[in-house]
Amino acid sequence: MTEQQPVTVSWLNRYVATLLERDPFLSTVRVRGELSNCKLYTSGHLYFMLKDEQASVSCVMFRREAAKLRFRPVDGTRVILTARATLYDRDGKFQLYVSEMAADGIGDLFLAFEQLKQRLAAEGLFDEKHKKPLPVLPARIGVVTSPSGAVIRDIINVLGRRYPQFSLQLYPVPVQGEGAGGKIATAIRRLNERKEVDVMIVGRGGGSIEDLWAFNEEVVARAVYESEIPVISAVGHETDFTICDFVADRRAPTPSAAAELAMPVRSDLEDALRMQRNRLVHALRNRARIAEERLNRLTQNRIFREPYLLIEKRQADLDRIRERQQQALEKRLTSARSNMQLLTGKLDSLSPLKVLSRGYGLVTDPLNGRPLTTVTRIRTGEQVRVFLSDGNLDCTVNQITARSDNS
Amino acid sequence: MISELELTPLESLSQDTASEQPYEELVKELEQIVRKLESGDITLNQSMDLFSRGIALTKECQRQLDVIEKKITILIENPDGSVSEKPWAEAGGTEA
Repeated sequence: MTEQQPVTVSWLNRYVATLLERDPFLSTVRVRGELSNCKLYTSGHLYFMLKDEQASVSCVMFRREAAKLRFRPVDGTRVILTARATLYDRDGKFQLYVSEMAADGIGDLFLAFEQLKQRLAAEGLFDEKHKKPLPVLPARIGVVTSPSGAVIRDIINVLGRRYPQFSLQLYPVPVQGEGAGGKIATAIRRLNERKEVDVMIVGRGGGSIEDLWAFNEEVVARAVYESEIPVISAVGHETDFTICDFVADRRAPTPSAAAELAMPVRSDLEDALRMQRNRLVHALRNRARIAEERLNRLTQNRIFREPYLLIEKRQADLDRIRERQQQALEKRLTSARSNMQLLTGKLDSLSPLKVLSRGYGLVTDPLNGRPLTTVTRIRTGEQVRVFLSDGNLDCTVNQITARSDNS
Repeated sequence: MISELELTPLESLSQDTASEQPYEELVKELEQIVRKLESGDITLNQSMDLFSRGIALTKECQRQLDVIEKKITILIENPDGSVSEKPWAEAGGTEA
């Protein structure tokens, strides 16, 4: 038995590669697994591993196929791949060339929706504080939707009922299909450039997630976020929510509801105005009445009706003052008089003449004529003068007797 | 008393729509004036001033309500990329 002739490596690799290429199962194989080690190169080619609990396989998705992906391939994503199994001649590496990648478990679109929603929310595009209030009375309403179909018709009907003279500007767009998102975004931007509307409604009728997909696109989200004109989003049915709904300044469950948010009922506004006008008139009338009553109250006062009372009162006051003045004067006079009498009486009793009339004599010193108050000042034989009440005596001192304290 | 109410001069309530005050602001000022007037906490002269300002506001509100004219137009993209505005028949009819 002859041994097999040894083959070259190139030959071996080519042999296995051919085997793989010829196998029908392996030329279009569908594999389920989890992405890991995802690397997207600038060339656009995507390299990753597909794994399950026990094994993994190396994969590559070239740019042309990778660009068609509707969601971002990230580690951990569960997918179903359609691929061609190959052996790379140069290094014998077993690899899957992936032509399609679909999300496993949930739809691609739903996954893409969730990814975009999280990313934009993190950027703050859904923030309440960024949302603008709607104008109460828009002079003109913009609408971005299909020119045919129920949406524009419903909006026009509802607007007409609420405010018959409404003004509307329609920017027609495709609401689904290739490029619809871009056209919707352009419409929103153009309305902002023209500045001819005060508020805009962006929307379409109901449909599947694929049908509504244009309103989930990032370009639309950014156009709505950057719009200086307030945006009311009305996409699909009550229970459908698109990215456009989250970014918009208001969300309406239906196109009719959007029209109600956009435009007030004219008669309501006019009723309110009328009420305010009435309140103004009543309030002024009241205020005038109060002023008038106050004036009447004041002019009713006796002063206005009998002004001479004022003079009479003043005169009476004057009389009273005069009287008091008089009384005060007399009192002072009386007291001055009695005071005078008192003093005169005192003076009288102190008068030396009174003393003399009682039998006392005033003896004077012959030297100076002053009263003699002590026996030491005189000697016997000297002359003294004695004043009595009705005259005086010239006397000679015969004897001097000093009075001691003990006698 | 009245000083806390900022009264813009009546001249500003002109026909110039470019400087038009939004309806909601006119209504807000009107409500303030009515409440001030009803409170009676002001002189007769001030009442009369407030009253005429209030009436002017109601007139301006009515003017804004009346000035809106029924109009429906559609914007058409021209081949050169520009956009023109054309009147549009309602109830689902598009202009050719």
